[in-house]
Amino acid sequence: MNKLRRIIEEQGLSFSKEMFKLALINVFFIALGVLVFCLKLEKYYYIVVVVFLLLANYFFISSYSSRYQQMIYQHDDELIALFSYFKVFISNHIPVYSAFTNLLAYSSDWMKEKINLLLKEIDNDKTVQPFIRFSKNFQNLVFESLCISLYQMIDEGESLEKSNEFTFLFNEVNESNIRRKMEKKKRSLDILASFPLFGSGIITVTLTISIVSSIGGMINVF
Amino acid sequence: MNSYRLYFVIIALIASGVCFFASENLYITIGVGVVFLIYPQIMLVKKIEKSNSTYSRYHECFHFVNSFIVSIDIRGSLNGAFSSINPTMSKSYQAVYEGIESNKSEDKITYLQKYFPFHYYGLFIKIINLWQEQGGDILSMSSHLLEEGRKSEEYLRYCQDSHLTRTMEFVVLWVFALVNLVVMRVSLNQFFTHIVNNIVYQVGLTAFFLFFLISIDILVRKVTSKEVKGWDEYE
Repeated sequence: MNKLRRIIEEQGLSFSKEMFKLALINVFFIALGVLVFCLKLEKYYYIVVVVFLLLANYFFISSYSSRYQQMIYQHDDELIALFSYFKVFISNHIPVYSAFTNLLAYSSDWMKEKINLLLKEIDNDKTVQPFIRFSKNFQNLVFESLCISLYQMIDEGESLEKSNEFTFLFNEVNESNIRRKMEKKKRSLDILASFPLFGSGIITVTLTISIVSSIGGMINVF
Repeated sequence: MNSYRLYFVIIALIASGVCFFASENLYITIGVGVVFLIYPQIMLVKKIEKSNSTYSRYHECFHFVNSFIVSIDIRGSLNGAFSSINPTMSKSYQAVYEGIESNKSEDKITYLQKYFPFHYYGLFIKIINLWQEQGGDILSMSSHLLEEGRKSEEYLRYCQDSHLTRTMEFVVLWVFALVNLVVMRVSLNQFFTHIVNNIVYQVGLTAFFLFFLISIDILVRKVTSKEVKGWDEYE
């Protein structure tokens, strides 16, 4: 439950509100069950209601994890995009600190908060720690190497060698990110082909049940 | 009526026709027809049009930035670059440009950010400002920018090609599913009269068409998802 609370709160949502929504969904299905009881329908309707109740709970709770994962990937993607802009700035001899300040115009609110914190820490702490702490906000471990490379650019002067080192590291990350995004796009679109098959499955099952129940009715008559 | 609205009207007519043929129930048919007619027109058409115009606007932005930088290198001035590339741009760009033609070149470039509201164009403005302040070789200064633009452009083209291929596949497979339903209905022949009023059959048929609509909605969401950083401002 603590893990779920952390995942919900890191997405900027209120844990109590989300649990209230979950409670409403459960109340709805319980009300359906009561309706089935009042209408004195067959017993298998209770099983259908319970199955849908369990499925609804499962999908509702698991949606937070998938949204959280997506949020993490979005943060990583955003940083890669920002580093590509950063590369444009430093290749034109804009100092690293100013380049970071320029990135704020292209950042989401979450990223602005992290960059502002980094800039504030850089002012007070001239070691590599602020950069390491900044890199911990992201999942991809290569960001730590990139941030260390940035620190070296500030600490040892923005030499061509350091700039090339950063560019080389970043290009590797960027290429693999683009490949990952293309794979993800392909997988996301592949699933569309299964929908018509599932639709045909619905029709086949429907017809099978209808035909068998009709035949059953005919046999009973005889 | 634009082409997307027409496609969805055709889909609504086909769905209603197949539904009536398979159910012989006017209420279900009208329900399916109304939902298929109204939902895409309200929820999906605008999304598709917006996505298409955003894609074409980004392609135009990429073309503008590339051509402008090369033109500056050749002509040596912003005015020269503008006069060189304007004839190659779209009518909507030229309509915007007409309104700002009398402004200074620097102001025109800044103003065009409203027309190209992408991060890529914002970086281009910074490079132009740097070039004007420091001088130097504009091609060297913008090499990383052009490289990033090229990668984004290649990725967008990949996405557009994938969207088109998957959409065609999706349409063909759903046509087969509908043909399957029609063939089953025809094959059942006399027996169909025994099952047509069965509640399970009617609910199943309704679920089939509901699923069809949901799958169209999911397809549209996937092909209109934002692919490039910086076009949130375009909303």
